[in-house]
Amino acid sequence: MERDAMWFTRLALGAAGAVPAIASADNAHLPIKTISGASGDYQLRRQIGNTDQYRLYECGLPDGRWGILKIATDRSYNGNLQREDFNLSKMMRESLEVDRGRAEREKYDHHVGFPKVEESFILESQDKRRVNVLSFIEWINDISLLEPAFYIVDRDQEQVDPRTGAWMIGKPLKTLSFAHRYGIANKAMSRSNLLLNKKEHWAIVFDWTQSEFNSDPHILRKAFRDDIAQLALVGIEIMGGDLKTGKLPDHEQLTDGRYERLIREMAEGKYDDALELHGIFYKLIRELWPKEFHPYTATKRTH
Amino acid sequence: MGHGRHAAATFAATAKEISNSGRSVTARGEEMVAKGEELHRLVDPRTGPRLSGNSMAEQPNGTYVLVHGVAMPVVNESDTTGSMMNYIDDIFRAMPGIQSCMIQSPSSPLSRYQAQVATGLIQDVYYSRRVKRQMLPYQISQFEGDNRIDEQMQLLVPAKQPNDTHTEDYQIAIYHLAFRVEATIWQYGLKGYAFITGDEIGHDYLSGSDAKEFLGVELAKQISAKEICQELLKKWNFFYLQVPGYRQRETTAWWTSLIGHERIIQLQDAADIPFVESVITGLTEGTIEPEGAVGYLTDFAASILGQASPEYTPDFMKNVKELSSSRISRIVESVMHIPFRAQADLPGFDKIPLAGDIFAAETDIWPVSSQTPQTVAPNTGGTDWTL
Repeated sequence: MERDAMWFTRLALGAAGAVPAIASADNAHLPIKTISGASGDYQLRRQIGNTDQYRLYECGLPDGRWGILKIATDRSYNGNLQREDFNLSKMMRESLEVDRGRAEREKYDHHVGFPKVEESFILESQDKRRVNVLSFIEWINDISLLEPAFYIVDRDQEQVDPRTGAWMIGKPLKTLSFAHRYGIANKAMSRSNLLLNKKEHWAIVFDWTQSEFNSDPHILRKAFRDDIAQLALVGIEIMGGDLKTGKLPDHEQLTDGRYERLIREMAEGKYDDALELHGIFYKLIRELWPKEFHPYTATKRTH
Repeated sequence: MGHGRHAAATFAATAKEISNSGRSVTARGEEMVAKGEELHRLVDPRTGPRLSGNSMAEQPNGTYVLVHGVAMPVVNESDTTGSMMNYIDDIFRAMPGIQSCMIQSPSSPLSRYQAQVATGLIQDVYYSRRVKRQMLPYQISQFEGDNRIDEQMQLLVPAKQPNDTHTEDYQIAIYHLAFRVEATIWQYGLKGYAFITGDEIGHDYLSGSDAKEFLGVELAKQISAKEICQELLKKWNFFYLQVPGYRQRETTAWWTSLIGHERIIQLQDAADIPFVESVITGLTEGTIEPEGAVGYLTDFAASILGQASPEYTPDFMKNVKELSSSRISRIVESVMHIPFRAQADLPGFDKIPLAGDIFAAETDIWPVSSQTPQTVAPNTGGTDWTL
């Protein structure tokens, strides 16, 4: 399931351990390098993650907000970044279109669940490797508040309770249902690719470099099913469940087997319609628990 | 292969002659076969491999100059049964527009190469064996950069019959592309472009007897279509343009198993083929950004209309006047799943020789004197760092 655990090894500012900068800097808050794009200059601060294919840097945007600069490690990955740009931009346009004319309280704000591509360009000075500059919805300006889902398991050695697990599954499921509606499959759902804010209950599907758009949705049925299944496996793991059987730890919040059964069926690939599943999921949640804010709740992992 | 480029004026004269005759583009080839003659050797795949090589012109001092850029093979093939029976006629008429917008204009995707175009037909072995022996199930012209493209199209012999077997022998065509083409472009680490248009499945294997009879090739044993495609994709930016047909899902599934669904384009209308190929080429070469595809296609379509001979404008080019924004959007959306920049991101992309480079010998691959910009050390602003 784990595609690459190296994404955000050092994302959270203030996390234990030194955060390496590109060059030696006594004050990590000074800009280290300025990269010029067509939309303005980006102030790179520090590297915050990497895989074999991309490196991530925290960067200041021209308007003063913070974002993430993602650069291909090799030109052969440029096309994937271009694809991410295309698909995320399409999703952003559709999200804004859906909300056009709606009152603030009635907006769906689907774009909460995925990054915005501020700009995508070739960096001539870096062997013509491609760069995507990413930001998040305006009220998520401090990226240090976002943590990848695998931190819960690997760093914190915790398992969340079922009600906490519910929004950690339900919110990305909403993002997937929106993407799938417009013919886009993520194809990289994993515990590295889900960024969470435990306090505010944000969940962002971050990486879309493997995503695929197809005007014939039938072509992507298997990819849609896999997106849902991988999300369910993430949910099972962060709730301390058994990845092979889908069995969740006993918990007082689980008064019957419906919640566990639904998530297990998701993981087994029973569902390929994320929109329909989203409705089923939240109908069940409302039946099980009251509709109220449930703060992040976790205990030490039992296994 | 010659040094020249496809000339619109020469094409117009040919088109006018055909138009005045009232006959189809492939009348010459059809007449030869009707008289009992064999398929012309220039389009008979049994005559040997197809070659795509750099066009060099000898200079007084004994060196050679690359006239138009390295040779880029471009293959257009189609089955010609059922709804596709007029494919050759349509591609013929679209050639000036294709040349202008996809190949020759300074901003076109293939402008830095000498595109050498080959046109082919894919038909049914059954029809060839039982009905018309000379109408080989696979016919392919030579790779040409000039108006010999038009001449050789006229030698093809399409079956123009309904397809009763619901298969076409694509495995013969893809074997030929994978193993019976020799192209200089591969020596630079790049790939050619190959488009097959159709609406059917092929067969899972190419038999030794079919390879011998229809390609003149001795095979020790049959070879699977899957194995053929593994080799095919190493050499070609290959796409299957699927038109609506009898077994839509099955056809998509068969081709997906061979080349992946990212290389299958669902066409609503065969008339979209030149536009689809142009956008695909641009996205693959990196000359078009996905967000700019609609604007590019709008300009391309307008140019095709401007290039069309008034006496010989096929229906689909007349429809260019009606190339609505919705149709353009549909065409663009139909190709947005292909691998972007698949050619542009290859290691050798920026290193190929350019038009005007000087070579010591005609068969040399690398020049002694080059127009290609030398690799420049990254501009790091004085700091040795890499992101």
